[in-house]
Amino acid sequence: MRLKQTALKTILLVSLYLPFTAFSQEIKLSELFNALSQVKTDHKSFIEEQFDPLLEISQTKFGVMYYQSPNLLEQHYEKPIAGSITFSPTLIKINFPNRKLELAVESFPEIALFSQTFLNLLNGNLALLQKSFDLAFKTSENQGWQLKLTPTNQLKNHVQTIQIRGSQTEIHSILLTKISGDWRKITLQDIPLKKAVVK
Amino acid sequence: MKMTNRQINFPSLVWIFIFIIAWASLVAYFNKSPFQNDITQFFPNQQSIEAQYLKNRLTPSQKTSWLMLAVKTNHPQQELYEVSQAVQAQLLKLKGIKQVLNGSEPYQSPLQQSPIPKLYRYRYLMTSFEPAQLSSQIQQRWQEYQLGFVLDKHWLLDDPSFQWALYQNKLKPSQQLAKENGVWINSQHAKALLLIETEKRPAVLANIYKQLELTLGKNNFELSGADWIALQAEQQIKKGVNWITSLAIGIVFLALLIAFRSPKLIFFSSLPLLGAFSVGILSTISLFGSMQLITLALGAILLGVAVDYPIHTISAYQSKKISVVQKIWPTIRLGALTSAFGFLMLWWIDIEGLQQMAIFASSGLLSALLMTKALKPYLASHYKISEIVSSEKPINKVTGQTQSLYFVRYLLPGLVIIAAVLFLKPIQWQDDIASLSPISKDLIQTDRQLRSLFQYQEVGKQLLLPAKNIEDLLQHEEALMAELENLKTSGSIQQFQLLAQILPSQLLQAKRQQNLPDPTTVVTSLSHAVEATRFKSTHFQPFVNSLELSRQLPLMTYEKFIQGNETSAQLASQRVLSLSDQFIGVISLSGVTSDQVIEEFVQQHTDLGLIYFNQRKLVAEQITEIRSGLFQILGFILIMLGISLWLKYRNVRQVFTVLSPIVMAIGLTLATFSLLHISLSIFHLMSLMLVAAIGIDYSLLFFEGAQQTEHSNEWSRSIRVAFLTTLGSFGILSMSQLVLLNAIGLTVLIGVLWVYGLAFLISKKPKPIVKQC
Repeated sequence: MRLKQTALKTILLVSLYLPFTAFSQEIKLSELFNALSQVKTDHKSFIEEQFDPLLEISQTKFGVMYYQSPNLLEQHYEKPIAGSITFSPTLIKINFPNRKLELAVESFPEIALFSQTFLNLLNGNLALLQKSFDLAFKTSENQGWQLKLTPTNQLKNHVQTIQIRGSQTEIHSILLTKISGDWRKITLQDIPLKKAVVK
Repeated sequence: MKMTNRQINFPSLVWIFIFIIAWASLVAYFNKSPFQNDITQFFPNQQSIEAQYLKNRLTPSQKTSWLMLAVKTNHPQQELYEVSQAVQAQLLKLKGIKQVLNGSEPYQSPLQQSPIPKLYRYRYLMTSFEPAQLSSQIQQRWQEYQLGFVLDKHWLLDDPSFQWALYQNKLKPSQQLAKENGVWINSQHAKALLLIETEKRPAVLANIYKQLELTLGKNNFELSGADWIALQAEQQIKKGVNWITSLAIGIVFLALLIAFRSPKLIFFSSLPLLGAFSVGILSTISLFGSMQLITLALGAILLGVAVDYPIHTISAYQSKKISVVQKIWPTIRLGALTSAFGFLMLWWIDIEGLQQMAIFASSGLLSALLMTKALKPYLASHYKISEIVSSEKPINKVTGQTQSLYFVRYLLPGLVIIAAVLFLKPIQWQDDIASLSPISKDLIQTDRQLRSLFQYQEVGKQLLLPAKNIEDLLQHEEALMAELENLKTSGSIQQFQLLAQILPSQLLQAKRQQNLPDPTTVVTSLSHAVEATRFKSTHFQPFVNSLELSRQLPLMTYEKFIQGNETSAQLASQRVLSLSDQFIGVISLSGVTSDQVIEEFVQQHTDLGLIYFNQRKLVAEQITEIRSGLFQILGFILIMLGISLWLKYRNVRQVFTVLSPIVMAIGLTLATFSLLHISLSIFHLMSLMLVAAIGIDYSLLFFEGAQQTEHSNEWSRSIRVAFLTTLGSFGILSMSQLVLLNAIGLTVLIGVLWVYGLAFLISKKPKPIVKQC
């Protein structure tokens, strides 16, 4: 009888405590990167917004982004131009109508920086990111988090910050703000299952 | 206080060496680079444009060295661009490497450079701006802008037609090499291409090769470049020369040891040679300011005769009779003086390298003679004979009873044989200097292949275009450009480079300037061009301003152009040459498939004075000229010997008796080469001068020895020792794989054999009757 009471009390206590433990499961930076490093391949649709304060031109582009660990990142644009850009550690391949190019990453350091940072993030390579950036990690309600990268090397002459937002182990958006005031934001969304299968 | 009255009494030999050391110290103090390696110092001073151009292009002017490198993968799964990047990274770690280019170098915006390139504002005059294409160009920029591939927005707005990029491609042709994965790749040959700029130090070049060999493996790369080839040649020469010269010197010392059986005497006999080298070098540097290494190498061969003087003198002392020494010394002196004055004749060939050789060899021989004389007290002491003058009177007159039979028996048949052989089998001359080069055919082939891969101009494939001034030159080049493009299209040439591509004539610049649209027209064109984009015509105000500025710019002159930056100055120096009162445009050609087509092209433009520069042909012509000069000098040397002998004997027949073995030996050596089907070069001819110098000693000593009533054995013994040392050392040289050493060794070997044999025979019969005074 006494054993029965003890068991009931324990069940009650556990059932009361569980919501608290679930709510306080704030992800740590190392855990986040560890979880990211487990992802070997992924694809998401993206919306890319850009603003150029000098020319006062804002643009929005749509497409699908493919990632394959550790070195492949491909952006397939659907609108406004159909074409693709493939990033690898040494190369940027451009494949657009009337424009097929293969460029060394050294030729476009800013673009290379963006793709490389993105790849390091998707690879969960925290050590490499820490080499070039100061990292500020903040969590928020609903298991959300925000990672702010501030360049510490020569990139600080061009780039102000890179802000990454997400929740749990998902990346929702990446915002690159340049010293010149230009910004570029990529928002990632899951692809509906049907579309992904077709793809 | 007591004053000492003792005089320091140094022997003359010591004084000579003190003098040489003091002289060497002064030369070393005042001359920081006493040795030079400039092959142009051996070229005749021809006035033709080609000759002057050749001399100019062979003069070393670059401070750094450029190497071409082609690599292939050593693992099937490895990508070429990965190898290229890895090799670049590894080479950059080495000391002495300035830069390694593989095509992945970032393209920098001119506006982000500090300072902005001076030529940037001239872009609309340096290149052809086509207003009609502005619309499509703006469309293209918009696409790049959308994709985020804009290097510098300010540059885009200032130069939407990318005139600066077009001009850069002309300035740096290597940027046009095909790329794969962002690096230069030749897909046809599956090779990644890299350009390496290094310090001009052999150690740095050798280190690069070592590193590549270690990283890639010997068979996975090809390396070439002018300095690399020079280093290889130097190493091959060193390899070939070191052991063979050591062996030759060893043979000389062995022969001396057998003959004199005394290390002390070997030491004595080496002193005149040492003095000859030292004084020869110091005289040349003092007179010319520096000495060419080729002079030193070839002059050293001529000085080989100097070792004979102490040999003859020591042989005379071995008789332990001062009378023998007194008799033999004037003969040695005469031989040395005539040889020295003979070599001095090289001065009259108006080529600085040979003039240096004249000073080096003649001053060296005179020093060797002086030092041999200074050795006499030591030799007297060694052989314990008194240096007092012998009461035995030397023979000072030889009666001329040489019979005419001598001419019938020896001279006439000899001359007939020589004439017959040379008539039936004329001498084959080898004037192609490349055939004497120690550079292996593989190395030359590799260089040719790499030049083709890099689309570099081939060595010796240029068109030369003379003009009174730069403007005329540029206009003439512009007139030729369309036809050169046709040659390119037809596949007769792969590429061409000329000055007008990077600096248009003032006439063309003015025409371009006049054709530039005014601001109103530009704005109208822009407003149409931006229609399908989200650019606004106002965005391109910097471009409108730049065009307007270009309309008012003073035209670019050649002087301003070369002051612009290092690249333009360097390119200009390669594409134009200033010669006294005219300018020579150099049009470099690469991938020439047919010389005949180029010759025809030149024929069609004789009105412009266009010349096809054929380096090999030109060098061969110059060598022919040197050869003819050397032949004349050889003749002068023989005449000089004849005059010297006349002054001694005052008897034509005796002069002929001594001289004829030398003349015949030279003739028979040439005939021997003809019979052996060996082509002769200028080095064979120079070696014949040494044969003459050695020959006069043998001939004189044989002739004088034959007159002696006693101790004639010492005379013939002295010649025998000298003959064997010469035979041994030059016999070894004749076995060398190096064409140059082989030529020298073989000529002296054959020549000395002939001169020794003839001088011996002629001195024996007919024996002249000696009359004592």
